[in-house]
Amino acid sequence: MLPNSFPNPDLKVATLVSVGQHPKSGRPRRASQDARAVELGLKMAGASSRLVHVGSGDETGLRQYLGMGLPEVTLLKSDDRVDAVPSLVSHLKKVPADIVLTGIHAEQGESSGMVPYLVAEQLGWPVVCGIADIQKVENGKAEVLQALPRGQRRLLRVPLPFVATVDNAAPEARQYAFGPARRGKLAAEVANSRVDDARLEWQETPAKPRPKRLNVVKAKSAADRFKAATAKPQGQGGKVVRDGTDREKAEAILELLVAEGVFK
Amino acid sequence: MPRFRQVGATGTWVTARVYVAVGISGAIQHLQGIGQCDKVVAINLDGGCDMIKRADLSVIGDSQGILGELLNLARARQGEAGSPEAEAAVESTEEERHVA
Repeated sequence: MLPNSFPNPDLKVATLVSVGQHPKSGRPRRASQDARAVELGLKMAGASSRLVHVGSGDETGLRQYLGMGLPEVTLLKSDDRVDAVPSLVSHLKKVPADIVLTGIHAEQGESSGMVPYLVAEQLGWPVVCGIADIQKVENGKAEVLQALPRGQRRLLRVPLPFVATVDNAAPEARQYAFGPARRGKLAAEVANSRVDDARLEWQETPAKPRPKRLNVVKAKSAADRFKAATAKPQGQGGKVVRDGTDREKAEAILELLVAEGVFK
Repeated sequence: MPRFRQVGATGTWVTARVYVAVGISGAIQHLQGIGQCDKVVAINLDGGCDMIKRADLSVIGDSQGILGELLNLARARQGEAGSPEAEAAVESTEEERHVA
């Protein structure tokens, strides 16, 4: 049985981290949701919680996680075309964990948010999505607070082991420090390298800005809107023929019909 | 008159290039129905009605006489051009007439 207080070094917490992207500058950084997951992992297991990353090992992004006070990150080396899920599954089978934390979705790349679900499916574990906190772990069950819209929370009791995605409602990640970030190690491991064939066929294009809305009539009252819907802009003033014979009047009409091309 | 023959709020909204309004005073429900029309020709006895304000060409006078003359002119023109289709075109533009 696991003791109830945090941090609990006996609890095996693994956090799956990705390299984030700054929304304005596009520079690599720690991903905001993943950093919250690391923060939760630190709260639960202290420095004995683990970090796992699949990728080519971009230093700036990964070292920011290490700067939060962790000694090393397990780097499953693979290039960008490789599917991350098989590597993660084989690693988690090799090095068991009680709780696997991760963000809801990555900040760059495919960003499908499917990784936690696929990993949990292949391991046969339950998934809890969008959690705000883990309150306690006892008798092989964790009490998890799931974040719901408008600040609501739902208390769930989940048997260990499980996979959880961390919502933005979770406590904000601590500031990372430069020293620990430099000292931390990137422990590279050889990973399963199954190329994601489906993804190679995809085409990526930059997102287009939304089209501008047409200028809609901004009428204050219903009568104004009605007028705008019915009347042509007034003041262009049609020609009015008052005098003359019927024949002259008919000629004027025929002239317009010919000019408009409805009568040849 | 069936609804599909009526123009305006109760009937259909028309999108004609030229709309010939014969003896139509221009109630707002009717003007709504012709809002999408490009050019409007009004034939009316009342020189101060709303349709005259909307129309691009307004003719004040008796519709029977004016339309009769228009038909004669169209026939004469058609005779010059020698095409029998033109009459149908005239008819189609005048089809919309009704009292609103």
